[in-house]
Amino acid sequence: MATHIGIGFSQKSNVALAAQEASILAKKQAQQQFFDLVLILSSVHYNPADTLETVRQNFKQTKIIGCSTAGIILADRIETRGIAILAIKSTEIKFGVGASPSIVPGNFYQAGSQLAQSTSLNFGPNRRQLFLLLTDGLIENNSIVIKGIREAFNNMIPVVGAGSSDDFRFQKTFQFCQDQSLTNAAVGLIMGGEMKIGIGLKHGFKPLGKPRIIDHAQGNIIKTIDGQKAATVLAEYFGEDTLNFHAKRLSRMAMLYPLGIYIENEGEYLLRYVLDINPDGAIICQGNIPQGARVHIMLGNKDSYKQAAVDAANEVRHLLLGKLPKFFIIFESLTRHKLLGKSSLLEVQMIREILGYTTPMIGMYSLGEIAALKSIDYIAEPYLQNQMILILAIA
Amino acid sequence: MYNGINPITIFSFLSLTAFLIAGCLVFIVVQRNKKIKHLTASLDKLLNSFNSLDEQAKLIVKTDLELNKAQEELSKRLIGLNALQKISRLITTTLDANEIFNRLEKSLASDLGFEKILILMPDENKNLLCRLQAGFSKEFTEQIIAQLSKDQTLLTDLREGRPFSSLTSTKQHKEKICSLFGIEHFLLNPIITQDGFTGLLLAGNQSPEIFITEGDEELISILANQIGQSLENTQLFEQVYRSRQDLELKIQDRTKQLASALEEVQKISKNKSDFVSAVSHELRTPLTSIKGYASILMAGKIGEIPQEVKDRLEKINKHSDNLVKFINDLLDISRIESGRVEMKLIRHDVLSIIDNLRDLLTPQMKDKNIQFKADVPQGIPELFVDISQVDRIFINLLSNAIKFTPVGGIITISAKTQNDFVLFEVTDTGIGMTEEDLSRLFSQFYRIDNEINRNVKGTGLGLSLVKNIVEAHKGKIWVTSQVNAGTTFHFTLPIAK
Repeated sequence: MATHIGIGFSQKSNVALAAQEASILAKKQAQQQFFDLVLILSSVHYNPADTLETVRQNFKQTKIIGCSTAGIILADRIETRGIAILAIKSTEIKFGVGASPSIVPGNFYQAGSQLAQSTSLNFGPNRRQLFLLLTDGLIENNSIVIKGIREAFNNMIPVVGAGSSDDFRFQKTFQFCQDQSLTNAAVGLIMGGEMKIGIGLKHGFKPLGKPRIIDHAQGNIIKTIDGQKAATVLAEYFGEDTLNFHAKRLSRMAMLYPLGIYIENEGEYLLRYVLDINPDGAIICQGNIPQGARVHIMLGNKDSYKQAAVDAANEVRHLLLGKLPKFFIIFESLTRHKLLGKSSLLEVQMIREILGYTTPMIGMYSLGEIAALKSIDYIAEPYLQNQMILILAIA
Repeated sequence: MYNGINPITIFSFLSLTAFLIAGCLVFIVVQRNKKIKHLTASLDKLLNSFNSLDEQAKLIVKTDLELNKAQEELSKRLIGLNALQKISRLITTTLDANEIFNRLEKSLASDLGFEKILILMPDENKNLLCRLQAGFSKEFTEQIIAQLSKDQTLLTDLREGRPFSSLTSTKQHKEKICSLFGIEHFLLNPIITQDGFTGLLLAGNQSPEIFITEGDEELISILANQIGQSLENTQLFEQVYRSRQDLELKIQDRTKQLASALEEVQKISKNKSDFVSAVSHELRTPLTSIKGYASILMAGKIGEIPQEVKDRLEKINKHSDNLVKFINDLLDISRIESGRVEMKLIRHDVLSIIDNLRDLLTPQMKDKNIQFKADVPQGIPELFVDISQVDRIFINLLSNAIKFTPVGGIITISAKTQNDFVLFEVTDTGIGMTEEDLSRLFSQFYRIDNEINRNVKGTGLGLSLVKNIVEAHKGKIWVTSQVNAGTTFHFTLPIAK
């Protein structure tokens, strides 16, 4: 019983050469010829179809999944351009992949259900232990897609994952599943078998000021807070200009001060990144907003963000009962990368210190992170979250 | 009467009880009200604390926001400055205009962090050409060029050195530039060199959320200047390179001409030497006969001759001797020049040379009461010379010195080591020479026009011979003089190793 992991990365400007080099390096590192799963993480500089074609040539019978990202996290560096391949061959872990190819408003829930079904079908009658979701981060309401997946499994398996991203332009992201390169889609991976799961999820923000009540919300839009237009409340903190900001100038502020929605049953804050302000004063967030919830402006700094990464890694270690993982994947909000700047690599080193310097690892900067609010209770209801660091480790 | 219980008593009891209950109720209500008031006050206090806390939070957020903004701007400037330094280094270390743009292409977008970069420059016909593009398609760039060429107003402003920025330009300009280049934020700077407007540099972002800052404005302005300077350097280099090439060609031509002239001169010189040598030889033979016959006649071997004839014969003999000396000098010069003289180089002591000279020339110096001084340090190295030739140097120079030094003057010979040579100086306190004379002194047949020379006959070959002998020893000779103060001949001869 063994699991072999190989990670390859290339920055060659020619897509075929880059995909080829990354594939060869992954194979070489794993010292195997045949693999069960390949995870592709690629920056949007490369044509996804061409990437997939070359990867497929190198991994003929292997299940393939992946997505685009704003940055690839490697053990020793962070790159915003390149193609990374994680190749796994395992006699202990089973994999099943699936896709929901075209998600449009109105079919979010069905897309989730369909994804769960297609992935289950591919996985076969094995014991399912984890569903990894890679969804288009630009999709308007991924929360409902998640709900569709979760309910298709009767809330029985943990759902974790991330939203694919582009090069900070928020224009187009892509997803890979088997021989399909997709956009506006969600792809999934079911894992099961002889394995232990460790999930760590943190943000490092603290609530600031008095709690406010969201008295009117619909989907991902907050209409009123404390009886006032939601934007007016934001303006109290950020100044009158906020009302005129809209999407153009809001992003930096939204990154620094996300909204923290207190989830009563979970006793934890769900972060929401403010995407835009409607002309009617409503706030558009990335992810669903529960009506009636308490909301705070949240505040953090580089130290608290890094500490969150350390805490997440420690939670993983705790869930793995102190065991070092076989490999781990980091899904980290691209806004955290913006906020941490050069400290991003330091953060990765801090995680590696806890989860093992020699443990194979890979990561991506995502547009939304998906997991239950508390790592310890990872089987609980998953949320689409913002500005989080999510570590998924398999032991 | 009710079984002995007085109804009044009952009424009184009931009334008392009711009163007590009412009193209790009032007490409770009062107490409750007090509690409510207290709680309300506490709640108000709590609310005030919350509100005060919230006000503080707002202040913290605003301060933090400002700090973040300042920090962001600072770090952006630092990154920009680093990038600028890197780019400057890259483009100033090449003198090839194409290479400048190659290097810029590689680092501009990635280092400065702009999504779009465009450099357009006019060609000789003033048509705009794209020299660098990042983030623009070829087709779109062509569209931009066509538009700019059609509507020249933007170019006119740029030609006048006016930059544009989405931060500070007018709304009209902003809209025009954004629409032309398909971007949200921009910096558009002219590239100016000494020749004036050389091109335009556009840096911009398509993403609405990626703003231009004041730091970016400075950065791109510096970069545009830097590009202008680098291009100017390449132009200057090209000019210098071309001039150098022209110069080299001219030098080559001139060298060829000179070499050919030198060849000609050498040929003429050789012909001259050959001619002089041949003529001298031809002259010497009849001169020997003339001298011989004159001697026979003077000796009276053919018969006694009158005194007058004898006097004339002596003159013939004397002039023949002069002529022989003249011809010998000419032959020596000719031999030395043509390299036909074999120098017999041997080690020779400097002091003994000077002593010999003193002995040889003392009578002449005594005649004019000239004082002879020798300043030669003990232990001066030996010379490696042909002594017969070196004697001629000294005799020539000292004879001249004696000739031009007035009665009671001083002649000094000094010697000192100078690298691999001994430097001799022959100084007199004679009449000296003018600058013009000095420049022609070593030319053959040149004689200074002065009273002494007019009275004393000479060939004008002595110093030319001296120069040839010194140079045949790899030495140098030069002269310094001051009219009415004296003259010094300086020359070097090699040291024996």
